[in-house]
Amino acid sequence: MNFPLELSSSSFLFASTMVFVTVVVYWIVRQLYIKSGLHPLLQPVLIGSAIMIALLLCFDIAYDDYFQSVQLIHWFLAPSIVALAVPLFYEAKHMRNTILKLCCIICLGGLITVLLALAVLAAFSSSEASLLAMLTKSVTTAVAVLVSEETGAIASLAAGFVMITGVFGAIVAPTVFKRFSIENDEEKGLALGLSAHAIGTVKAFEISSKCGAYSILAMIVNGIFTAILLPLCFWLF
Amino acid sequence: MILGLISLCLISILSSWLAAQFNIPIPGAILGLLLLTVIITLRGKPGASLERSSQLLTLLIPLLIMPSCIGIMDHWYLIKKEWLAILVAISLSVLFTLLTTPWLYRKMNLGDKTEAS
Repeated sequence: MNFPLELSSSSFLFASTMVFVTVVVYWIVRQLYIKSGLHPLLQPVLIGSAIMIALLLCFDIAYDDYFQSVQLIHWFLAPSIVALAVPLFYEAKHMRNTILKLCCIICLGGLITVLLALAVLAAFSSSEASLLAMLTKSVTTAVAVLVSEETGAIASLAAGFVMITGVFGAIVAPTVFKRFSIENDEEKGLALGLSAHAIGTVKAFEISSKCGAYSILAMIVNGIFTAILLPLCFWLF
Repeated sequence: MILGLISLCLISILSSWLAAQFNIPIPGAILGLLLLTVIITLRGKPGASLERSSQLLTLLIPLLIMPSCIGIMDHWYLIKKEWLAILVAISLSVLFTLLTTPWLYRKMNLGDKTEAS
């Protein structure tokens, strides 16, 4: 990923307008999301992207041109993933006695969920594009986008799958926990972070801060494992 | 705060460069995340500046992934064609994970219940 030097080649005015519009749309939907009491269906990314797509279609702007002009926003994705080191450090320090076991659970759980999703897709004989994008479905969107750039999956499709996974997970989790009497906050947190990543983590913090901490740990560790193992598998085979 | 932001950007640039230079197939950002975790662990604490800039950036992640998500407009036909398979695959695997993770946790902690609490 290079710093957006190409910016000067396209019209600077167009680029800054696009960046400005994206930020404003995001800010508005974020306010809406907060006002709604953090409803999972009102994810800022979901609604914000929908509005932006409508705008781009209205003004007949091609996606490639748009993406070129907002490279600056996309560029900051990498530093923001690096920034996850801080919460990871705190959770790992807090759980240092059980951290190895927790990592094993997260790894195993992450593997199972991806294999199951792939098996279902294969049973429906889906296209290769869907299969590739499904590989990153249970890691947080930011990691999924970056891993897609390595594995050659369609980043937006991968992001879409991640979003559906997160929203579905966060909505059904409370019912599932109740129905199968899962009451332990640690178990709930791990399950939420593993199956519904960032969206699940928001839900987990509603349950308790301990639950949220386990959810964060599951989300970040799963992201790291997936981001390392997947490209390695592609590179080897 | 500015210092923290700059160091996050520098680590991200450095690790992306390393990944490209040595043909490491892992996203540079993940290398950076591991690198920074090691640095913080060695230092013992992240420090106020890094902590505040980390909070700011992670809060902004939804905005930062929007440009990539909007790309779905070019692949709408795929979703239209395979929406049923996608929905079944995702919902089944989510339900399964929500149930197996707590089960795995209980299995792994058999014998040392005291540590878990």
